[in-house]
Amino acid sequence: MKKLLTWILIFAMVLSLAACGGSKGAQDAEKSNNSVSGNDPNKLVVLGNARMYDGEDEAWNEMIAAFKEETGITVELRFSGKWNEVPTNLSAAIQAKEQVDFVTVGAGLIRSTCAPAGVLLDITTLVSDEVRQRYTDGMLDAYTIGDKLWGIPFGNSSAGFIYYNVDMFEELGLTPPTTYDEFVQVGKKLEEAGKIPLIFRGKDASYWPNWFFSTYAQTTGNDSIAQTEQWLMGEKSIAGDQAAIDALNAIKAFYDDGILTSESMDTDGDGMKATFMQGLSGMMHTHNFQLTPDAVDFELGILEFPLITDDPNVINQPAGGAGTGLAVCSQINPDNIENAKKFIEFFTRPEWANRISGCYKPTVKVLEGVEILDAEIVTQLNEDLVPNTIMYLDWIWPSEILSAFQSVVPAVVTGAITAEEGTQQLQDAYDTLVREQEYQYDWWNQWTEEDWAKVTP
Amino acid sequence: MRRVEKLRTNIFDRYFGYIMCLPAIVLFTLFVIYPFLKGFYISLHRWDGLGEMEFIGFKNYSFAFADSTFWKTMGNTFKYALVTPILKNILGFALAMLFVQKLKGMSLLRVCTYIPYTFSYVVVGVLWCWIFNPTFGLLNGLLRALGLEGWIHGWLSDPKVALWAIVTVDVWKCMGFHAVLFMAGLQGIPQEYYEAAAIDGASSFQQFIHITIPQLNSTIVTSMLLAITGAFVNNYDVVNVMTAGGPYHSTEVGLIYIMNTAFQQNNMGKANAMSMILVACVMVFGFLQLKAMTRDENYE
Repeated sequence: MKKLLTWILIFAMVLSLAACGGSKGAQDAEKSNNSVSGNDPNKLVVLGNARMYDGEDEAWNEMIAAFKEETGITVELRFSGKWNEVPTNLSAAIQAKEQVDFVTVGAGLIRSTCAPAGVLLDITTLVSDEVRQRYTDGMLDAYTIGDKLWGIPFGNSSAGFIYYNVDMFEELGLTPPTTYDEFVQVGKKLEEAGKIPLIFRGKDASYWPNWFFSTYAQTTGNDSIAQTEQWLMGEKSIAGDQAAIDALNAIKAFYDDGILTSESMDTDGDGMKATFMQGLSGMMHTHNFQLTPDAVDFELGILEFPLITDDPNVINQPAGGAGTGLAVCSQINPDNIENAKKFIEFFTRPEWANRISGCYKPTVKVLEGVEILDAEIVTQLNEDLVPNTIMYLDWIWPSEILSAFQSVVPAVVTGAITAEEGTQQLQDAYDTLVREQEYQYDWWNQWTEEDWAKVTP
Repeated sequence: MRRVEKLRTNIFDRYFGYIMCLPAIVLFTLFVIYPFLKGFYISLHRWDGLGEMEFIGFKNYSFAFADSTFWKTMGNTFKYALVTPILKNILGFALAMLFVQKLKGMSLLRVCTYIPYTFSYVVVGVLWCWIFNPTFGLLNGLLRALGLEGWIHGWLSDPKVALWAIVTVDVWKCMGFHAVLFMAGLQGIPQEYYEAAAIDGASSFQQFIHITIPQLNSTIVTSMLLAITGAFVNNYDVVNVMTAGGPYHSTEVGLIYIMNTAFQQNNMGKANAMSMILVACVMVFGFLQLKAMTRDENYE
């Protein structure tokens, strides 16, 4: 009996250890000069987050089936997890020497994490002029770093704005506000009517920086991107910087003046939408198109972020951009680069762009062929807001700085710290980043020829 | 020939126990020892998880020691790990005392109290987020209905109360489990002890102090050990779901901060160094706890 048990045990262990071992493809890849790509020149692997929109998986499957029919190249889709987990999943795939040729990462992750780490291929030469012309003007800008192209966007783009309940405003005799003072007056009247003036998902720390994008754009005289770049390059300090202090204080004023209330502090995305859709609040702060007119049983309107300065030369600059993108992994097997080029061309064709991006209910045309939603507010968004859009600052900030902003903005708003202390904390976060990780904003200027060789096809 | 066979059988018998333990040892080595050593190795490097590692010695440890946010989160971890076990055990014990009474509806109450323990922390966290919701939440709604507007709070947005709101949720989830442990202990105390004490004129309070508590000693030790170890390692899910560590790190426990450092900030070296420090702190704490609570007299 003991012997039988022993043999069963040994058999089970050998079996389980064999199962834990690497696959043949991975072992072969390991042998082949540290390339993580498999040796199948007729297969491309796309690693990405789980698709977020209804019908998107089907659209991708249709697209890769058509691609295979035309080219004979198989595409394997590995979609799982959240969008911000893609670098972690990519890291795991690289460690496991698995084949990954494409990754679905947006401009933010490309700029802050993936491109500086050298895991993406410079696709400047892979994207032909024909493909570039399929993009609406400016859509590739966020994906261009140091004059090189690191990814291509698909999906939707947007610009930050504020939703309002048109029916409620008309019922209460309110005019859509444009200036800050008008916002305060409208807020007071909504409060008197027993409504929350403006609801925001303040419980989700990652959304607080959106307020800073809007206010800092104005307090810097519409120079927020350049100012941020100067700070991140170490050319100036943000501690005590008047524009940053004013921007933080401007957000605090929304809270002090009763536009932003304590309800928002404890509200997440679902709570925010539920509050607004049930008519409990008159306005909803958002950075993208979260509600379509058919989703609510009242008329939906959109407002620009109010002007917070008296300077007549300053305009509101909503933050936005095409945040969903596709990039090529730098460890792609060189034999597969031509296939990757074919895939990029096929993927961006108008019919497939529309088939995939159509699932996003797009409001801004990123690629030729994409049909955007037919609604008055979508027209307003495209005509009034999109032309003034600037890149989200958190696409420029490294993740440590983003974390600092996520903590500092609500702390200043609720009075836990002053704006001056807030800017000091931001500078401390930057100094820590430089000290601990030898951070360099303009990594593309610091890379050696050897570094470039690893990411150049 | 027979001697050889006997010798072989003896050797086999001698090592049979080790062979049976082998799978556990292999799994423990693969999934605990190896990751721990790998973690220590990574902690000596600057690494973003994607590019190449750069050896920097013990610098990550000095970065971690100098990081005030890390120590704040460690403080939160210890607050959480000290308060929740005490509350879980006190309330669990009180419930157990109630459960052993022969009252109507007690079975239903036992089931209702135990059910939350069967839910995952994610489910419990989401449920309580809605209860604490400032606009739709039951808690503020109840306070409003009772005319206690002054007590209405942003339960998860006020840094002074948010951690304690999460502690309350954890205690609510687990007190039923501890009640069951104590109930089993209480039912195991011979009734004769109480009868003899009553004949000797002991009051209910004296019976409680001199019979119930000493007789429950081993149950108390077990229950506290389970609660404390649970409080150190189970706080990630509920905190992450309810507040993700906010507002301004007021509910952030060590595990959340380490995860964020590793997977949001891609600073694997420092995250692993902080993990090592956390392990060391928990080991010291665990050793002291083990020393204090596993004396032989606890089990007499």
